[in-house]
Amino acid sequence: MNFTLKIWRQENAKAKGRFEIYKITDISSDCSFLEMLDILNEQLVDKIEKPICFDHDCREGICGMCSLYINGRPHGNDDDITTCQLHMRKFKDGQTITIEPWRSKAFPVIKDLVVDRSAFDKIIQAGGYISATTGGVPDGNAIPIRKTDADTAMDAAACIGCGACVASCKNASAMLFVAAKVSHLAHLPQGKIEAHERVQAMVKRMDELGFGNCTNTGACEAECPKGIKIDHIAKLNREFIAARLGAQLPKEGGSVAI
Amino acid sequence: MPKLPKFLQFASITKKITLALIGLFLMLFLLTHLGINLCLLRNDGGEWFRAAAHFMGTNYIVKVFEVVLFGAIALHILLALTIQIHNWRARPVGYASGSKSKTAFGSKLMIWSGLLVALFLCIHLVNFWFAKVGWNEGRYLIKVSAIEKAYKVKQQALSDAFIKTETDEERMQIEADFVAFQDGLEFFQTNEKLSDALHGGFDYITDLSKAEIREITAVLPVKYEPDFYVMVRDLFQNKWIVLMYLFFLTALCFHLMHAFQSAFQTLGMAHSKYTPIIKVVGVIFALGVSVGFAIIPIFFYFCK
Ligand code: HEM
Ligand code: FES
Repeated sequence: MNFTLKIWRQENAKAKGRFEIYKITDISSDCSFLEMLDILNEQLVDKIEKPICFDHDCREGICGMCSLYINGRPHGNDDDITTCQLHMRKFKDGQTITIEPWRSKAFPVIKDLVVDRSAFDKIIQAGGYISATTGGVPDGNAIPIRKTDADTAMDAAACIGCGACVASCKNASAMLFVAAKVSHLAHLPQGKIEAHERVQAMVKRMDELGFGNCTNTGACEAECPKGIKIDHIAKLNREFIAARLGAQLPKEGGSVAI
Repeated sequence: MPKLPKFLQFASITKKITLALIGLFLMLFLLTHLGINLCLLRNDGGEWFRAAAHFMGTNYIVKVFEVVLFGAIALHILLALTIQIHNWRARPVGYASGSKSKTAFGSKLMIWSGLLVALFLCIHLVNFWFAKVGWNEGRYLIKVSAIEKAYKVKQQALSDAFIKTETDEERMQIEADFVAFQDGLEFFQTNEKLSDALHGGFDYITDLSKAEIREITAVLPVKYEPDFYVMVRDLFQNKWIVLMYLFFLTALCFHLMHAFQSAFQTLGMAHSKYTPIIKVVGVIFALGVSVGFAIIPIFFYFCK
């Protein structure tokens, strides 16, 4: 298969970027999207040109490292997959493919197609965890959990933090990511203990980092490689309302006690 | 962007929840408004509609709600703009390829459909509400019972004054006043519109101009109200105004189409059983309200 690639090139975070056009030929239809980029990079290196930087790690759809906005969709034109799971057979021979980095104020471009997603880490640091007591390993199933709760928590826990929700959202909102983390923990007894503090702290951090608001557009759930539903955003809103109505506000200036 | 003072910095979700609650309140208002407007369709020469408009124009609870309503609309617009501007700024560099993600279509139109509704609101206020507060000349009506009451009050006042007189001069003055008053009342008999209403057993004298009102109140200080029925009838004789109303009502329909279901999601109400119902009710509501309002200009253009 042959393709024309229109790829965003940007020297560094401060440089002004531009699109470059590349032709690539004789690509197997069984080639994965990232393998296709590898082949292109080898050709560039052979020509002593700078290879294209892009994020990847596991290449099996589990680490959340790969990204890329491909022809108007994060992770390309297929549902419930990451870019590393996308194959060239999903494209038409001779097609032009536009490849862009995630675009969001909170995800600045570092180089070419690589963006800085540490904003997500900061949100997690604000409260996306439980203060577990250490000690011996507890018995499995010692705490009874309703099946539906366990399943819902598991669905939310599937989030790999790739940022496709932010990339696809017209408002560059991180609500689906935050919702997945909050909902995951809020459905489980261990997470419920700090639920009020957690949701307020995470939303506060999310707002500070410059993500947009949720307008219930639903692009995030259409693009989430793990198929996380915006029902979790409703859960986040519920948790937030409950926390604001019921909990004490975090102390002025001090960090939230989690 | 200048930083807002601390007490005005609300969490993103707080803003959305407030927007949604106000939106739902505005929907209740739309239903009330629609209910009253549909009285216009009744073939009773505007009796029901005038009664409803009279209630809405004079009841004190309604007057309080009018203030609340204007505040709610202002806050809805303010919040919507704040949120929208924040959202635009969250992606300073856009994509070269347009989004191909599957989304709720109406959501992308919210700010534009909303701004059209806001523009419509301004035009609509100029069309009707301005006449009520006296910034525009409208058509007016007077209740016949109010004339009778005002007549009795005036007569009583004159006879009271007559009893209190001490000198002949004062007495002559009152008599002159009384004659002038009686002469003035001639006007009620000679004016066709007035005498028809007074002798025809009607409840209202309708379709009065500001000049006629001035003539009447010069004789009798009688209360008058805007005659919205006539104003509606006259306004919708113009084809372009009818088309303009239909255009704006389409924008309202789009706004409500997304807004109804979205408000429930914002308030955290997502449920496998009830959300599909809410979505259907939302579509019915959006269509019902906009078609319901749209019938009125169409009806008056073709049938009156
Ligand atoms: C009678 C008139 C109106 C009604 C009944 C109404 C109702 C609503 C409702 C229920 C929402 C949903 C909130 C949510 O998504 O949680 C909403 C959102 C919104 N409204 Fe209105 N609204 C009206 C007028 C306006 C006006 C005049 C504007 C002008 C700017 C406006 C702009 C918006 C915007 C931008 C949103 C945000 C939508 C989103 O977050 O996706 N609305 N409206
Ligand atoms: S590289 Fe790990 S998810 Fe794609």
